[in-house]
Amino acid sequence: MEVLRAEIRQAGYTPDRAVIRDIRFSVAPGELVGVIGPNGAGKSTTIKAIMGLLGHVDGTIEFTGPQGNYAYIPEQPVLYERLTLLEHLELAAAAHELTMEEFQRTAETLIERFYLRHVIHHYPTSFSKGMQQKVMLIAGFMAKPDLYIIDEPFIGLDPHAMKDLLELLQEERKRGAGVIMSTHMIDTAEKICDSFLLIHEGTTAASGSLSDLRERSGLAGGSLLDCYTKLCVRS
Amino acid sequence: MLHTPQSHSSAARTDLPASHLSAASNTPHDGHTPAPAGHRPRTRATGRSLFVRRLIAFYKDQWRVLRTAVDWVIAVYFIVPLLIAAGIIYTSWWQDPPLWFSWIPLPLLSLVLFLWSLTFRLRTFLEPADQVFLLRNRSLINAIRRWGFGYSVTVAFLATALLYIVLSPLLVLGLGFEWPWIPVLALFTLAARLTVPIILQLLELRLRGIRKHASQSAVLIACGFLFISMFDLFARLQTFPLGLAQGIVPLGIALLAAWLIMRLRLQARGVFLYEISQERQARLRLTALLLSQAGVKKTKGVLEESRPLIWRRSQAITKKRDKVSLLMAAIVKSYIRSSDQWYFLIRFLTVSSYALILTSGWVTLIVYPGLLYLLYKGIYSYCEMATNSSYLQLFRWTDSERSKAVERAIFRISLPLALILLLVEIIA
Repeated sequence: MEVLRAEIRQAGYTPDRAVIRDIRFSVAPGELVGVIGPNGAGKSTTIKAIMGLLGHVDGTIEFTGPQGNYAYIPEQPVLYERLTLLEHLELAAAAHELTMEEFQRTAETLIERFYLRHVIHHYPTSFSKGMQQKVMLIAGFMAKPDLYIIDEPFIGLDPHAMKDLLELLQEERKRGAGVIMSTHMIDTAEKICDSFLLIHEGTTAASGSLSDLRERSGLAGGSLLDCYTKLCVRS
Repeated sequence: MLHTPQSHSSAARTDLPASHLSAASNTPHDGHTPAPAGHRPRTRATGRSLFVRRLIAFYKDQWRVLRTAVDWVIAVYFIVPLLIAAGIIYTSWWQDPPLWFSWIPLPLLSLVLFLWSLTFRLRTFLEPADQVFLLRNRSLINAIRRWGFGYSVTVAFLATALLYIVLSPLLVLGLGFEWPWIPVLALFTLAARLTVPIILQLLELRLRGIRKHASQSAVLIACGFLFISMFDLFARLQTFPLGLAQGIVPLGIALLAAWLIMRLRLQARGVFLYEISQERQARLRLTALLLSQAGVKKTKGVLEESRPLIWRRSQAITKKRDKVSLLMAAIVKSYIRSSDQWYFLIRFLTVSSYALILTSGWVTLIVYPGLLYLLYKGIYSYCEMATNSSYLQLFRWTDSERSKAVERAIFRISLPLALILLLVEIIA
């Protein structure tokens, strides 16, 4: 049973130049997969390929969860200039086809959780980067999808919000949602992810749980950073 | 749910060479003997040299943008004949003034000139990287700003002179101004151009929310009234024997006011980030204009409102809660709250009202639908941009939902405006 099955033989922005090759992985319900790799390795391209945003993908991407849907939370907040926080969430709820009751209940809880109650009638474009990121998280979490695709979720978040995000992710995983998370924060990823997809130079350098990576790198008891350095940087 | 990457933050860029950077940041070069304590290494960069470098870079950028956007073969075939035709028409105005000169009343011309004077853009030539590299050197920053102010005044002077050269046949032959009055009118317009937008800017820097908008509107109305009245006064003074001498007095006051306001603006404190943001907008003006259809987003100003003035508590504007209705509501709200769209609508309504007042009979039957079509196109392009926004692309919307929402939004926004124009036509 999986919520996502991805088999990307090759993919790129133009048909003549593949940016990523041979990336195969799946996400089980409740599983958190960390996508790790250096800048320019192909993490964002992989995410784009999964979401169908790349024009040229040779492979199959299947959303096999009960609802067959996902929520994407981008690294850079994207917001309307002239809509308030509440109006952004109403629009997201309409897109997710939530009922009024569902919207009120979910949005209320999330707004309280991220301490945004006092600014619900403010323009999110006037918020700090961290607060804008919280708006993105709320818009994504309202949908309760089968799969979350989260790009660099911790950038700009204060420690409290980071803790709230991790708790939320935990709750959603208990519900059965899978998570793909691209991040550079290896220490945090090591603590929270069930498995990893190490991408290097556009292809899978290694994948699996931390023990799989330790075995592959020959570093018994090594940290994720050690394994990453051995498998990606030194290769 | 789809996502299109929006904006990528670019690294701060500076035009200072390495030697200047090290001097500005007070860090010794590798391999060089550090300066003794108490001795500050002197930078070779001066306000003038930085200004000149930035000015050249600005014009190079503009040239590059134009070359990218314009096909030169077509441009040459289009621009050269256009310039020749314009020259012939202009000469013919002097030889045989066209009939429509007599249709243009002085208040209409002065109103247009006043609106034009509001388009003045003060340049400071500050860059984002100045926060890192030059902020500690206030005198250098102020020197760049002073050069920028001087440049802005020069450009305003040249633009006004050019405008008055074009308008002089209308002023002399159509409205009956004597020749010596043309420089007086031009200098008065220049004074307004240097004063009113700067007063509005100073209010923007000092006030927030409703107080800001109320005071800016009051200044705009008062200055507009004064400007139109002064043109009327200048027209009357022509009949007096000492008319020109008397006209020079209000002109002198206007120029003095312009000088004082510019000085006040130059001395304004806490405007560094605001000026960087304004300068960035000024630099990208041509690019934004050329690429507006490609969805280039306006840079957020540092003094943007944090809460909306209209629908302050996010009130619903439709009882229906379906996808199309909520998307329509979002488009309408974002349109009505956008100051850019208000400026567009005010300009459009002003010009359209004059067009309807000046036309009569069957011509109106062509002009009115034509104006409605222009209004529709203007609102449509905004709605299209709104439905293609990156936030919306995070979620699933069908093309049919988008187009239905756009249609309904256009109807809601344009209906009151169409009725206003109809009312103007009936009254006229």
